[in-house]
Amino acid sequence: MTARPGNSRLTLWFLAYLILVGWCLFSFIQSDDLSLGRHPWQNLVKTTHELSKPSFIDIWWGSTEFKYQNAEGEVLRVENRQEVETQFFWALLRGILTTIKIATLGSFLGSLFAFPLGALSAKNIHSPRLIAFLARSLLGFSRSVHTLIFGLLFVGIFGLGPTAGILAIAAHSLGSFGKLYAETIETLDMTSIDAVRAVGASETQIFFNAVWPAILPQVVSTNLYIWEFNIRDSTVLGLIGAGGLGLLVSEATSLFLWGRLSTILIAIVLMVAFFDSMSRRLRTSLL
Amino acid sequence: MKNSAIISIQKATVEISGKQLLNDLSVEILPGELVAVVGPNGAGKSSLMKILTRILPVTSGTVEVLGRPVTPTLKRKEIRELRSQVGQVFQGLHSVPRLTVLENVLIGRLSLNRSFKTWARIFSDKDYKVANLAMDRVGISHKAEIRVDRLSGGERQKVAIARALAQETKLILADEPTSNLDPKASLEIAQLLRDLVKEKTITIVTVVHDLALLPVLGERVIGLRNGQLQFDQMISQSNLKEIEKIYQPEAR
Repeated sequence: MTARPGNSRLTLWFLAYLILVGWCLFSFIQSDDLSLGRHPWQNLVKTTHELSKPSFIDIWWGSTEFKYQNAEGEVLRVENRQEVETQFFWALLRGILTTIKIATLGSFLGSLFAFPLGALSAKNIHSPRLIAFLARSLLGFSRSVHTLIFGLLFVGIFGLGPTAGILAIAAHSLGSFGKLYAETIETLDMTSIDAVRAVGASETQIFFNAVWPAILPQVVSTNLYIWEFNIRDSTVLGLIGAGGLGLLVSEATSLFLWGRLSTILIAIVLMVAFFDSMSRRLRTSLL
Repeated sequence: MKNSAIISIQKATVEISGKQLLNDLSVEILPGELVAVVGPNGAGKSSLMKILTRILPVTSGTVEVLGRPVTPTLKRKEIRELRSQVGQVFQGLHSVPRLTVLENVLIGRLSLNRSFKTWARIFSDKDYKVANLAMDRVGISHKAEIRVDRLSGGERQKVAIARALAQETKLILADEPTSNLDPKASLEIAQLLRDLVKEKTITIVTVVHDLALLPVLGERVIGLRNGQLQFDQMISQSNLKEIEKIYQPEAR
């Protein structure tokens, strides 16, 4: 290898990246897989139009006697739109609550089990090689399998409902928790541990007086961060029957109720934005 | 106690993977002495300190500290007992950065208060009393509630000394305690250590890297080179020129 100035090496990497992007694009075009459908523009306009009328405005302005008619003009059913959408609103709130509960319990479980695994896989703990390897592989496995896939698995095992959702969140975030815990332990300042050991303190005393105060801010920050991530993640769990908001999403999309979907999306954005800002504020106040 | 010496090293040799860190070293230190250890890098100064608290086991020879034999076969509990009675001040300003000054000084009480309450940093009234006296003595009481990572190097070293005092120790070992400090703070710390020897019956052994501080930190000077004792004399009977010779490269 000849030594090159950093800049030209960077240019080479950039060129390689462009080639990769080009290859992805052209291979799809070659197999004729890049199609935009038959009426992309009309569909886009239609969807946008329907999404721009979120169903929740009907709570106040919906017709109290909305008539469902068939092609001959015969009235099939009369519906009080205000009442129906008010009911949906409460169902939506319940869904949000379920989602938050699933995310919270799942994060807690994942965090709990990640502690020993993270500690065992930290390089400066020097646990036996085989154990460290197993812990690291387990964490890697849990990180690489998506929450939805874990969810499908657990729905198959434990049936429909939040149990599967909670376990899916726990199983996937276990990997992220474990990796971040291991990194926290690896960056520990050993001098503080030496200081406490030097006075003849016991191992538990060393843990609580040197290790714990050093890792606490990182641990709390990691928990907030992954909790926030899991709240986002658990909104889709209902799609596969694992409880929460996703159930409403799948209902709305399969009945082509785009107004409903619009309401749900607005609710998700508000909820996620709320937890984002809260967790960010908590995290900055900790450091 | 076998004899009245606070530290007694007889023919101590330390060998780690074929490398001799200490070679047939014999030293006795009496209570109330202010001893400075000097020597070039790799002379065995730190090794000498480490065999006293069993951080390093001796390969052969005997070590006795505060009347306790320090053997390579000591059990964990015995090592803790030994360390609880020896105050240590390190060159790296060792303390727990996210804890306050008071909490750091209270760490010195951990070995005297094994209650599970110390896990939550709850200490007895006596612990607090001793810690407060220690902070008063080193002059850091006004910063008791301040986190250690907000302090200057000199202040952090005072915290370390207060922690050693909180152990109610008879012996303080200081390994280059001023190496990270500016000249003014160095002198202050050195004088603080010297005063402690004068007013209490504490023995202090300091590894000194800055010969300017030698007259402050050493009434007795021990010179090491290649793990061997080069000289051991009272500072009043030696001149600095002679001591400096220990740093010169060997004639080959």
